[in-house]
Amino acid sequence: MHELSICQSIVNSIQEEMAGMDPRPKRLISARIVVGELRQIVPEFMQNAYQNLTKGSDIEGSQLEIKALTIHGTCEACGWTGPLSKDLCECPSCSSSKLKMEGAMDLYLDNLEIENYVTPEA
Amino acid sequence: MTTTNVKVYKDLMGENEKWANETRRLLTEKCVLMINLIGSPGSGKTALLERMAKSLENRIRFAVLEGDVETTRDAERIAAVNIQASQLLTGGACHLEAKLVHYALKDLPLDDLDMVVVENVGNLVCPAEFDVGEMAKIAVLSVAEGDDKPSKYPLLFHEAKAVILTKIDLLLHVDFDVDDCIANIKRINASAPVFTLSAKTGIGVDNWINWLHERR
Ligand SMILES: Nc1nc2c(ncn2[C@@H]2O[C@H](COP(=O)(O)OP(=O)(O)OP(=O)(O)O)[C@@H](O)[C@H]2O)c(=O)[nH]1
Ligand SMILES: [Mg+2]
Ligand SMILES: [Zn+2]
Repeated sequence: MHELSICQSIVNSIQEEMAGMDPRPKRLISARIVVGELRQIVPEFMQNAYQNLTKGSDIEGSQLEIKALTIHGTCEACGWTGPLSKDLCECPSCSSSKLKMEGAMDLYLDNLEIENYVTPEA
Repeated sequence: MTTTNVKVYKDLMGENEKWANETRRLLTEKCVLMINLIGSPGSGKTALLERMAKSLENRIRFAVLEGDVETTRDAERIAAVNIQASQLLTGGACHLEAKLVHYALKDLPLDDLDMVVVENVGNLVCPAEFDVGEMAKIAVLSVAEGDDKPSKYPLLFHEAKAVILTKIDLLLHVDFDVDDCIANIKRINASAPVFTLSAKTGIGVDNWINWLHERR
């Protein structure tokens, strides 16, 4: 499904970031992506895609960590702010439907955990 | 072993978004509206376009980009009603992405068009995730699919600028509560208008066409 095409973008982004690092890292231990709650991403599919796409590459064997991001809501009617569940479309405080959602569709590469080469003492 | 955490914060849809923005820039420059029709396989997207070709009689000059996994059948159906159509084949992918749409768009005579309609791959889920450079995503739902679909697949209805509830000529034959369905859509997206229509009989199509007129 669409996890595969998004995963290709993850792998490309990781490799770009790694190539730009100075000093060069020894290997990638894990990569963390953050996924907004409205994104319809199935973690198992994404993990499978990651295994397949990294096989034989320089980041084979690294872990993919998928972190879900809760939606942050702001009510334009009463000013309420707080976490919003994705099926909630009314302000929990005043029932207005003038709700702004933030982060619902976020999808970004957040963090890379890398192993360094041990630099010999100068 | 020493390890380091490197904070990256890099948008994973960035490449797609770049093409989508390029497309919107081109469309704005040419004063062309682009809509992205999204709905299940068989919901009636192509039939709606065939009906629009008849009802519009060139009042809005439009071309169609047909997204499918395989075959050029939908593009042929559109060409048969004298509308220019290009077939975009995804080769297995369940959705269209912005780069493919951008290159297809550049082959269209944009100076002679008011609107481009993208018919996305029949799928209620994946296409809603991808911006292809449209000004509006339009959700297409048929009454044969059940009135619970907006609640079960909220993302599309959340992203849509308008919802088309089609095949209403079939209401006598299916259990589908129109009011209930519209209430569910409004709960997910209070601002999107819902157009109930039938591509088969043409009933309700005028309201939808008027909305398109106002968008231009
Ligand atoms: N009764 C009735 N049938 C319809 C209507 N609209 C479409 N159909 C029928 O529904 C079936 C599917 O219609 P299409 O237009 O091919 O559906 P689609 O959404 O383009 O399908 P894909 O491109 O395969 O995703 C066809 O047999 C149409 O004749 C309608 O308003 N009323
Ligand atoms: Mg079709
Ligand atoms: Zn409120």
